[in-house]
Amino acid sequence: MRWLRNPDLYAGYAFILPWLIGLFVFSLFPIFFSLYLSFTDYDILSSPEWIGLGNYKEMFTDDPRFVKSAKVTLLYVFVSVPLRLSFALGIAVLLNMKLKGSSILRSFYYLPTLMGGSVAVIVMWGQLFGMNGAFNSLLKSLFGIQVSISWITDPSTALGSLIALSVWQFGSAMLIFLAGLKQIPASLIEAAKVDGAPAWQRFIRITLPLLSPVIFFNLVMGIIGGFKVFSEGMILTGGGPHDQTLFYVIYLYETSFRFLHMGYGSAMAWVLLLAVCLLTALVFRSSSLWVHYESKGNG
Amino acid sequence: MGRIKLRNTAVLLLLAIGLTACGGGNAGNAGNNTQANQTETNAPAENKESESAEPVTIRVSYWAGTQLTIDAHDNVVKLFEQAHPNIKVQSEYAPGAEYTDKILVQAASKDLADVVRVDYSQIQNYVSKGLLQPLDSFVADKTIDLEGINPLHIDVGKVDDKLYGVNIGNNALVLFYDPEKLKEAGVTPPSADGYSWEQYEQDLQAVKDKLGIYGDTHFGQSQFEIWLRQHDAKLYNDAQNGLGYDDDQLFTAFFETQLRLQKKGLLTPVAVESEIKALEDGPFPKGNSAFGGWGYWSGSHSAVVEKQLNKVVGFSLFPGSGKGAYIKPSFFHGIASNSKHPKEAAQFIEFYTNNIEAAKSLDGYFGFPYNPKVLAGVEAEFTDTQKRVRDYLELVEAQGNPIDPAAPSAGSEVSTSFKNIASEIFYEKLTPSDGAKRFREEANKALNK
Amino acid sequence: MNTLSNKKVGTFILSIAVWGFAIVMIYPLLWLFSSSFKHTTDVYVLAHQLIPTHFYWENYVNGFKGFAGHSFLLFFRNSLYVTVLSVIGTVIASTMAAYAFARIRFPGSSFWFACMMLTLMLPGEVLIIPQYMLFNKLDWINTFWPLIVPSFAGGAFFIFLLVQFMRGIPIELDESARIDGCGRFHFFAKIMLPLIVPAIVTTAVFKFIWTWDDYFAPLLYLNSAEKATVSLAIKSMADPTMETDWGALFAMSVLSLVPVIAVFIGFQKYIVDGISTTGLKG
Repeated sequence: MRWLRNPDLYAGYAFILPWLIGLFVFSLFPIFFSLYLSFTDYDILSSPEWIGLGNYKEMFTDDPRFVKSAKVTLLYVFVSVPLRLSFALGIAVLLNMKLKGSSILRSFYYLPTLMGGSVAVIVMWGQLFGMNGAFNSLLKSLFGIQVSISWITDPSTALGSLIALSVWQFGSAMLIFLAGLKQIPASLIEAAKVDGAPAWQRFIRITLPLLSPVIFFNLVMGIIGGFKVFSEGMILTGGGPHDQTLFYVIYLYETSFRFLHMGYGSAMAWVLLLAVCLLTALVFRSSSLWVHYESKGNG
Repeated sequence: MGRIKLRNTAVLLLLAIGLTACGGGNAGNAGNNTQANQTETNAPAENKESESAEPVTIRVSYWAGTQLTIDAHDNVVKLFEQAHPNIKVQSEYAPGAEYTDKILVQAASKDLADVVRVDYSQIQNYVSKGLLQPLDSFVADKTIDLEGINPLHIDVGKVDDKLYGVNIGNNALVLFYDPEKLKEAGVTPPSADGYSWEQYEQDLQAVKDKLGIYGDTHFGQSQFEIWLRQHDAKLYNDAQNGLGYDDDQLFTAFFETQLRLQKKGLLTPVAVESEIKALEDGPFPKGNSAFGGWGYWSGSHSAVVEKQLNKVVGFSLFPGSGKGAYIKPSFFHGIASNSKHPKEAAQFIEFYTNNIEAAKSLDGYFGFPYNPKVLAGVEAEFTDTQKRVRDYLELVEAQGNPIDPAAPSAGSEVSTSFKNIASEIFYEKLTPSDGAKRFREEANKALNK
Repeated sequence: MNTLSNKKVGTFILSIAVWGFAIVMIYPLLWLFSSSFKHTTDVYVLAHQLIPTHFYWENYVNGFKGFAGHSFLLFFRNSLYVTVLSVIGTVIASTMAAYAFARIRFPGSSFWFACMMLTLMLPGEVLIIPQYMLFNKLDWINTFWPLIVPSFAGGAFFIFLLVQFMRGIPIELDESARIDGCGRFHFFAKIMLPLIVPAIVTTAVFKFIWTWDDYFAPLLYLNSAEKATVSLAIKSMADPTMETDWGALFAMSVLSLVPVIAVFIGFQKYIVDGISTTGLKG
């Protein structure tokens, strides 16, 4: 019972209390309810019917669209996440360099993210990359190439366009990098400057290690967010043309709310959870090799 | 004998409740209730009496995605509240697909609004899951007065011979055409007496040759269903566990025609069609094609298209025999099983369906009125577009057949399969005959889950 | 001398590139702004035109009058109410929890941290139905509570973000504070919080933007028109199967961006300047 006298116990739980209450009141029931539903046949309108592992079995043996959606999503995550993070980091470093008007530049770079997935962006994106859109006219006037591809709706380019859109909206990651960069004590970099280390060496030896907790955060959240990608695809392509952009969660949503197989959709959600969990655990494991913390904690 | 007795006691009981409740209500807010109270004391104790003076709030959920539709609905609500001072209406709306989501989530929590707007494709599923209550008793006691209406417009809302949905207004799929463009190309506009597929193809060719623009857009599932109806078949069989046509040649022929038109350059590219984001968008309303067969509905779509093109458009049945055409109820009003105020909900439906002021305010936004009394009341104010819509609906009624039974709950899964296969065929990744086989396979699987 | 001018040229080229790219980035905003002045029937037909031939101010008038007798003023008020309260709740609860996870070694902390990460990974789409049931039981439907109260439990994303930032703060600080007789709460409030101002502001800005933009939760939980938030109201102005006043829609989209952009521009300097005002250098 010595641990009961540990003052950290009370302090720790006091600090996480609001979150803990929220978890119990708002999250626990929905989470376990969806786990239960994953073992049932549930059409939302009538009561769930227990079918054991039926949904899971069907998913892996008898559902080509499930396989397709998993493939599309994996491809999306492994291409878009590294691209977006490198972009975000590069721009953040540039903006951190005290260029003229850097505060205006920051706003400009963040604007696409601010506009999010509003109706306007969708219409605009369509007219930019449509068959008679601005992008194709630009190609024609700059290089004299006559392109008649509708980038977002053509089966061969649709996924690529969605990846481009996600890279273009790198603002959130960039902002987090900026906040991280600003937290690096200037004294450390000054000291390295005095030592005569060139800029790129200062970046590799000091900036990157000190930024690594934030890089780690952006990587983990990028992976989780990438697997859960939904609205961009839903509003721009709806998963089409013929499932070329059928993201995992689009299919999950379609199955649950359009086809009324909520049990199957719940099972899909838990399979996704397991997969993302494994991948994230790997990243967490690897973090001891490359993430530099000033203090030891959890994780 | 026993039944009559029971009914009498029920009426007495209702009266008693009504009176006591009325007393209580008066104590609470006397000012509001005086008017309702007076009607009660003046009116003889009969049918109307159960419309107690107790203030009641009913929830009404409807499909709306624009300021115009919300305001049109809101106007009707105001008129209704003036006519029924004891009933307050709380309207809930959601646009597009989100409306269905919201209804589903509410249904799962037994929290549906009293009056729910339901699409034809969903009514059967909702009824089979017990979400809606039958309205026959309200029709019988004239709370909802459907007398003098052609049963054709009422029976569509019946499931297993009980009425669950009151038709909000009529609609029909239409093939629009641009009369000016056809004239320029030297094409005679489609005749109401018959328009063959061959003629359609020739006309598209003429439009392309003379004007250098596209003829039409690709046809999809709704046009395929018309095509099936023209061949005395339908999409789902009667048991709704399989397709309603046996010969895959029907599917193959439909897509071979489309593919041939596509290869001749008579149809807008599929990619351009999938870029369409709104009613105002797309080749026909933008003036880039001579025909608009993109699945437009005669109702509010005609006004939008005419406004966008800034000219009068022509209405035609789809090519092929007119018997493929049908009239579809735009939406239904239903009353949720969990409603605590079905009587007031029924009064709202009655007002919405039959009140002439309401019909004027709605202006056909949610489908064309079909009650002869209402039609007579609003006809004088018809715009020219509305007159053309009326004529077109009459044509459909004369040549067409009643609508096919509503799709089963697996219908949206089948539609997704159809859409994907059509896309692969148009991108020439799949031949029409292989597509026919795959569609049958996938549809059967979905329908037998 | 030579190296210096080289450096200058390099910076110049870099500036050009960064600015040029910035223009590409804000193109959509310019496009939206210009569309908000186009006549509705021109929005799709003249989509490529960046400068409208006529300026239809009526779009703003028509849009702002809203619907069902409620103007956008009310929708803005609703949005502000929900958003500001959500931001306050999120910031308080998230920094507290993050501090515990980052700095206090209490029994069960790894377990709860793992739980928190798991809640991030489950797609929210499957939680919609049970959550609605829950709020329905609480009788919170058609109130703002489902949109606000959960924020007071913090958010897993933000807790994780703040944890990462706090772990970048040297641990020696804690020890020296402890020697000075500084208690946990005192240390948290007086030393830790000022040090992670950039992360806190980032949290607040993100939460503001995300809550402001969210339309699905308002769509589910708010029923009556007088409760609509701006994002929900704008969503209710466009329906692909009905007639839409696109000009008014774009005008209101522009207006709805004003608060978010103002918040971002107003607070971004704290993200950038935060650290320099603290005494960490010493």
